[in-house]
Amino acid sequence: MMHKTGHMLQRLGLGVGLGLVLIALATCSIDQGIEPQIGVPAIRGTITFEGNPPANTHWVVVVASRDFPPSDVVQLALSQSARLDFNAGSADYEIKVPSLGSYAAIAVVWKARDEPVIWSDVLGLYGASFTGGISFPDTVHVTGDAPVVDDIDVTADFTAVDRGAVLGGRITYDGNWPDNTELMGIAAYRTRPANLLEFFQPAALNISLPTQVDLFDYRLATPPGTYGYTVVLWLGRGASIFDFKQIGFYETSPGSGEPAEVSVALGDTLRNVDINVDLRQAR
Amino acid sequence: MTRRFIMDLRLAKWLLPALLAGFVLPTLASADESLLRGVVVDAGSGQRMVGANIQILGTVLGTISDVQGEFVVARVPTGPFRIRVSMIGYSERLMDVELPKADILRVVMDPSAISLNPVVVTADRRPRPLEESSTSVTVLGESEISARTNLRLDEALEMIPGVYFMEDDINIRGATGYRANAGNRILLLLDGVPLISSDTGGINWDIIPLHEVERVEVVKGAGSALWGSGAIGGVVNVITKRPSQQGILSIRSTAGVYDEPSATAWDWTDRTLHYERVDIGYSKAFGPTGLRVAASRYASTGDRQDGDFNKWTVSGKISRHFADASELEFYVAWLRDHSGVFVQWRSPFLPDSTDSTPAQLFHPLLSQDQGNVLKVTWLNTYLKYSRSLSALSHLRVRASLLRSMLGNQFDRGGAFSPAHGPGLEIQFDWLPRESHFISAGVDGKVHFVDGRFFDGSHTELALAAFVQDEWHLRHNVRLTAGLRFDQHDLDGDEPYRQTSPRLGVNFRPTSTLSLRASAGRAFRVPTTAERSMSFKTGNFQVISSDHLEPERAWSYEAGARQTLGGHSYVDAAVFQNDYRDFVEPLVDLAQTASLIVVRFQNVNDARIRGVEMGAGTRLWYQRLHLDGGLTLLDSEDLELERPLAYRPRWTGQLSPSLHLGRVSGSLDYRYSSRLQQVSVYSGDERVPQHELNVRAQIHWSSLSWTLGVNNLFNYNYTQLERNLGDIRNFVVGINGTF
Repeated sequence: MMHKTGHMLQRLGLGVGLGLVLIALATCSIDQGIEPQIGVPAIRGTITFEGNPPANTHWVVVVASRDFPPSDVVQLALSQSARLDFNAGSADYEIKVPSLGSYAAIAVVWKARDEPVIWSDVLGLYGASFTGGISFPDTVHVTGDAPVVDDIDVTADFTAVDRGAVLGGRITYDGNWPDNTELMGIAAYRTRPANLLEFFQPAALNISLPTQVDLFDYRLATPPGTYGYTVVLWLGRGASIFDFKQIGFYETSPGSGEPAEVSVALGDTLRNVDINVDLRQAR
Repeated sequence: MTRRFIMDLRLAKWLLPALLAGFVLPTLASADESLLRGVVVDAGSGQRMVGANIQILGTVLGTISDVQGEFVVARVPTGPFRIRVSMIGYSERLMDVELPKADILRVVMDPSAISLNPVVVTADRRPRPLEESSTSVTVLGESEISARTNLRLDEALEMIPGVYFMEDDINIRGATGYRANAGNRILLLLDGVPLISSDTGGINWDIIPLHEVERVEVVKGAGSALWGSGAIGGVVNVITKRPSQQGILSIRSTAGVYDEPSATAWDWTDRTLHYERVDIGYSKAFGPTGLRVAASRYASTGDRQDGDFNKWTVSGKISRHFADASELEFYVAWLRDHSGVFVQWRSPFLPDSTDSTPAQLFHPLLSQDQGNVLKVTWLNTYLKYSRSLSALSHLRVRASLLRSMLGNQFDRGGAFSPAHGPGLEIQFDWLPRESHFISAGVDGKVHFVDGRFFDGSHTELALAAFVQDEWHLRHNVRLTAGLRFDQHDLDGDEPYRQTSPRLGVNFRPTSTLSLRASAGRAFRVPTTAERSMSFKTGNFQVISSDHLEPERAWSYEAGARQTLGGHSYVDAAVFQNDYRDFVEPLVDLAQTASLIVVRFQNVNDARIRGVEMGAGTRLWYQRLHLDGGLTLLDSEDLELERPLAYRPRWTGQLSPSLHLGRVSGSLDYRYSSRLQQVSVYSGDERVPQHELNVRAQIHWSSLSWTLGVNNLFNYNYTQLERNLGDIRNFVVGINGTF
């Protein structure tokens, strides 16, 4: 009898002990993971517009990018201002950024009507000399101590996307199309880009070229002027936009390896800017 | 398309008689055969046991004890032989028998708190002790399931080493990632019959009647050599209970209430948020015919806006044993599910947001897009017939139908989209020589998917033939070689053909140590949803994909399992899976800023490798149980040279429990390291997952009460972006068996 009572007391004690442990665990203060973030981190400033907006301008926004050149298009889409009134000489903006941290580029992005967003259609970058010498944009830090960063002013120049002329010609493909082809594009540069920053600032770009064809007659809307480098670009499936490969360019003569210069006037369409592409370079 | 379909049917028509001629006819003439009769009883209670697995070693013969705990094995060769009897929760029993001398065998089974070497049926499509398997298999028994959950099966599966979930998507060793239940890389079987929807290739855990589950077998690694498309990352086989001998009525009721959010800023309603589930089941034998029926209702307000649901499930099983020891089994289950849809939490940072003065960065318990409702109806049914044709050959035939109806209110006015998947499978087991065990069969399935969300109607015809030989090189060395040929015909396009070989070896240097190694090829044909799904909700839009190629994989594994003193085990494995043409949902680069457009694409090659450990022990006269697991995953997109999304580098489980007579207490801790990579909101804060559930149970007579707390510390984490894990909730339950 004593033995049984002892067992019962032992079990009762264990049960009570377990209950106390549970209550203690449930009420003690420990790391609770994600916590509320009160207040809205934001980047604010003024955009000063230069030049005339092209007639096919759809909208202009300011975006904050975690990295530069940007690698996360979704993050760009989620870190942008409201659409700006670009017909005024200047416009104030505010970007409510989704999280604290550093933003490597604040860019003014232009979009053409009835065209997809081309993130390289940039009118201006905070801290970067966009029309003169090449420099990288300044990083903006959004911290808990200073969640709202003001005076991030940018000059936006519409001439960067002004398209008053067209380059045209035939692209002839040699070799087999890689199975992992994702995008084909064509770009025109004033001069052959010497670094990544210049590479991501083409005067004109079209990334909608068809694939799996032997040849293609292209048209590329450009601002009038002289172009020293017209190049065909290839991007592999799943690759980032840093991995664009230059697989053929307009040459002084086929196979010469020397980029040829072309000039196009306002309202003109220049033809016969033909490019031979070796698909074996697209790997 | 029609012509090809007819040709494929002709192929099947010729293949079947060939198989019959090859396997059945040589064995029909076997002589000197007798009946082995027996009964299996529990050593403690003396009650007869239903569902014990009886195998006659050295033959293909075997059976399951019937509704009266009895078994009959026909065509047993006369002379001495050995039988193995096993059942989850009991120690394995080996007995020497001699026919025709033997009377009715009485097999007494000793209860065991740990099943060190249970018989599994999934790894090799036939009953086989776990320690003889050449691949990693984990078995979860009924008691282990009921000790962890009274609500959903997936809650129990998460305690298996190497298994974790991303919302409803099950991952075994990181195979699936997150796919919104479209094209799971794990094949779910119910009693060996695929339970994957024909349209999305998704899994609906709610159609599985939780309290009807006897055990779950989880096979890790590529399983296509036996199971075909879909088993690229592993197989989960849910095995349901057999009808009981006496009439048994079981009633289970569970209710829970959600606590307040850990932060007052996240309070969003004055209502008391709660959930409840009621299950009623009845089982009884009528002579040689057994019956099980069950019904359940599971409803919840959810702990967040649009987190409510109301689910009804009804299931039934009829089995009948015949005098020649053959068995017929019919099963049917029906599910009706109306659920709110919480896509992501509310954030003021969407483009075009008009909310200019939000109180905080995000509100994790408010829905970004309110009012979406998902309506789902599933019907799952199968008919199985099995018969021993002789001591050396066995036949199994399974016919099945899975019908799923999907409807929602995203932008289609709640219209339903039906999908049907009838299937037929025939399998022969054959023992041509004592050292060889051959399993072979044919498998056919048609997927009919109709419109609405999938850009029109689609038809897929899948035909396959498989063969596997298990070769006993020595008494402790087994070599397994398998090959499966699959042909998938999608909408009349050029058929896709795949050959999936597999090679495995099992070596038992001692009676307590089992070494295993295997290599196999696997594949998965993209589902209709991945190829053709098209819908929009909130700022997400899914668009159809052209020219999706099947994804393929080579899977390698080596492992060891050591049992210690009959009360402990340690299991360790290293593995590597090399994937080609991985199909992943990707954000489309050339879309407008106000919409996140996603489509499935063949992306890069990928590799997932890692180390996995599991251990269990029973101490202090089996009063203290301790189970745990730890998995290290190294996943990599081989072209982008970065980790794959939604694969935590570390996952771990720890489950101590204490059993003192009628009282028991248990604790389940689950850990996942911070995700290295996600697909959409990479800028959001990410934290590791810690989840601690505690539970106490009191058993009294035919009743048991449960008290528990889930997410004891009210820890807030996300796995899928902008979806908070369940907040703390308190649960109470009562189970009765009468």
